[in-house]
Amino acid sequence: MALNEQNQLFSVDLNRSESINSISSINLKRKTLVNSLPVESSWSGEFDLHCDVCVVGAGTAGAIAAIAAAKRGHSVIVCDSAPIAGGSATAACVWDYYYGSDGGLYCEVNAEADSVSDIYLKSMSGQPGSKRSYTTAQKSLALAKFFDKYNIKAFYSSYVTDVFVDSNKVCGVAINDGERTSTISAKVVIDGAEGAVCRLLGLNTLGGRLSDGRSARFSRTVGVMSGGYLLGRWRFCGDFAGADTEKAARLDYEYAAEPPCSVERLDERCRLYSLGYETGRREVPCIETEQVYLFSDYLDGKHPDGAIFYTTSPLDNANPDLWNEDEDFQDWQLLSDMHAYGVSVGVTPKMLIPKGVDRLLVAGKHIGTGHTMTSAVRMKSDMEKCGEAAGVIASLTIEYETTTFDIADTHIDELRGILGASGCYNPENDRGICDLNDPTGNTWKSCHLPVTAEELRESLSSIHPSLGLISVRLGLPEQANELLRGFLDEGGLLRENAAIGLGLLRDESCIPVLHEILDGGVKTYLYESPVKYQYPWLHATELCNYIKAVCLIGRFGHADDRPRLEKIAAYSGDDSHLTKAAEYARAALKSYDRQA
Amino acid sequence: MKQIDTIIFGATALALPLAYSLGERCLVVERGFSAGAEFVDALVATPTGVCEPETRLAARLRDELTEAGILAPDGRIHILALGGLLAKHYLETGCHLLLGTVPVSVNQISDGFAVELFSPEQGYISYLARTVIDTRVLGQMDFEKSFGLLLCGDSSLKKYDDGSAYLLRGRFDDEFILRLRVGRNATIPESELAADEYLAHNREKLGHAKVAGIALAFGYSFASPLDFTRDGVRYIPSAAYPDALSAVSGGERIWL
Repeated sequence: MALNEQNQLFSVDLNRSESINSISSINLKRKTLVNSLPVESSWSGEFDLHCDVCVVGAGTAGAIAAIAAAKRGHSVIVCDSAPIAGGSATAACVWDYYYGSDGGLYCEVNAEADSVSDIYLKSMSGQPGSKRSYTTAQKSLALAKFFDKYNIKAFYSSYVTDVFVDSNKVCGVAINDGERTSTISAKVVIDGAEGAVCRLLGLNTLGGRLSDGRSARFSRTVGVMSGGYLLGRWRFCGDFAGADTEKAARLDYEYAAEPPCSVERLDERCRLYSLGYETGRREVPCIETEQVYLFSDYLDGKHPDGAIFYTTSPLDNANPDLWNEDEDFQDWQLLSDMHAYGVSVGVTPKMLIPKGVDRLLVAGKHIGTGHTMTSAVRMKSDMEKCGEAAGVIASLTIEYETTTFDIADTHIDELRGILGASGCYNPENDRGICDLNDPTGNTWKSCHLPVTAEELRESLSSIHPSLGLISVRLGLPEQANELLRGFLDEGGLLRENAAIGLGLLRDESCIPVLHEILDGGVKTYLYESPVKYQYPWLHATELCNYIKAVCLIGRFGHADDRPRLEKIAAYSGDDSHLTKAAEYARAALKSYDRQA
Repeated sequence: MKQIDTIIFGATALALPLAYSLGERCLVVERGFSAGAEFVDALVATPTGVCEPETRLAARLRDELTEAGILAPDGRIHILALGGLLAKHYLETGCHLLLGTVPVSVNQISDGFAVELFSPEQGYISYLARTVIDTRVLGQMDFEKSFGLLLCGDSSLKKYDDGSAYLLRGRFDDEFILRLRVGRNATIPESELAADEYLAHNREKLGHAKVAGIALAFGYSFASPLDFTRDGVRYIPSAAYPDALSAVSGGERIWL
């Protein structure tokens, strides 16, 4: 890098003959936020820096996006608000890989992290039966080596403040580190900063859950020691929905002042080895992209064509109030009891392109999936794939001197070829619905979903009807309504589970049986998986049709069911099932009130 | 445009006494998300017992840290545990607080300052302030910079300084901070690479100790604490003090 007399840094693009000290710009628009409102002004200044690809946010996805583009020979500048690259995986001490599908460029970075000398204390990663896990020091050092190797210029502790556009094409950004503003022109900008660039452009987001706009809870994580290895210890916090900037700051400090970030009495057990620089956010507002793929689409059997990588995860939402979540999530998690199962989601290039904006890509939790689906695509290895895909899309956009829309429309095969070479794109990662309690190699076993009458009968007769119910919801069995109505004439769990299935199909013939379930009181059945995997919360599933019945009766919203729901909602005792049922009843009554 | 009596840049140890003094009349603007990052994130764990706090808030903090076992009688401190305590105190001050926010411009006007801040959530926010105090380290200041690594696992190590790096003891018998001297413009990742190189060539000095963590901010060494005014803004970098309690004391003496 060349230095001028004032110790400023200017980029020298080693791939080009000209040394660039300033880039004259044509008349551009400068877009930003002022007091939360989008503002646009004309700008005809000169850019301080120039690159092919500017990655705003060198987090889990952004760091890999930068490496992917640089590996293909492009000049890359990254900026991040944290002092290091890696995002939550480094700065927020979220060290573990859990769920997610394997394969991709990130494996090279992890191999570098694995190879750091033994003077670095490591996590349990690599030990038999342990999750892969890399400490802040390991992963950050590995990324530093890759950035150095591929000449990626990085600005840390810097925020993107403005975006420059020419009509609908993004041309560059401005960044500020608290002392100086620098302007960067780029042929493609990748927003890996949880939508920070998109927010400055005033782009639409998909919103939180319908009931109250909330998103998934965040966590504060610290590094502690256990058995000679480092591990990340976290606790659930709240979420920032509705919090203004000052309130969010207070929330941040409140959680920083409590365990595990703070110690009441220091001893070896609570000794700290790392502090998260920032909160680990499970969810941020998703951007409205050229293609939006919601979980309700998944449940309706729609699968987008042209996936360039697959994710695998349960719907890891972590909010404790499922009664306030959207119906698509309730269908999966409550009514079908699918918490121990994962879904594979195919992500297309258009889910990474903000709607109507050229030369801008999104990479991270904010891709076009929406509140419920984001909990199924946000796993670390999948977000690293997302970054890689964005980096390659950016690369092809530049190489073909075309638009990102064109690459998404006409270069799927080439994208798959490039991403396939690293393992990022791998059709075998499309596991469909898979059993998270039963890994096969490094992947999970795809489940066979009951479709025939006999298979459905067997599933719905059991204390673990999950696969039968989700098969019904997915519309797989032929003439499901008729089949299920037939099961209503039988007894026991088959009758009850069939009613739940009809409820999933919004078929009111289930209502009399739902009433019977409610009149019969709470009954529970505990199913324990015969095969154990790493996460204890997946091993057991409790079937409680009483709570499901409350949820479904609430959804149907019949006036003559209101007194029944009011009685259930009035429960204030200690029984956990009745307490939960009361919450569903109260949530349903809010809908009654809205309709009234 | 919003109005506030005082804007302070940096939720630092030095700024804490002023935040207590001014309460809701001041706005504290912090680029990161920590309190006292200049010591906590930077792993600056210089023993504090050598600087007996003379001031009330510093004495109170010392007592709280001692009671929690974070601060030993000989001044050794488990620096990472200080952050939570400072965050708690900032909340008690009643000050306005913005995290993840940077100052973009400060312009002196007739009766104070027009200050422009930037936060990712709100974008540009403008304030009119009577007073602006900057407790951060700025690039134009004259300092030496160091990068910290948290080591653990070998209680037999001895302090040393070999010119490139120096080793200090932390709170626990096997807890040490290795500080590598780095260039003025070095980033954290560049410092990590340099530290990796240093470790590879100086392994024998570190016995059986291992690197457990890295600093997420730099440590700074100044010839003496700074306090100057330029264009009406008062600059008092908290990191110019050798340790957090000294910085709190320094702040109390300045304000009170």
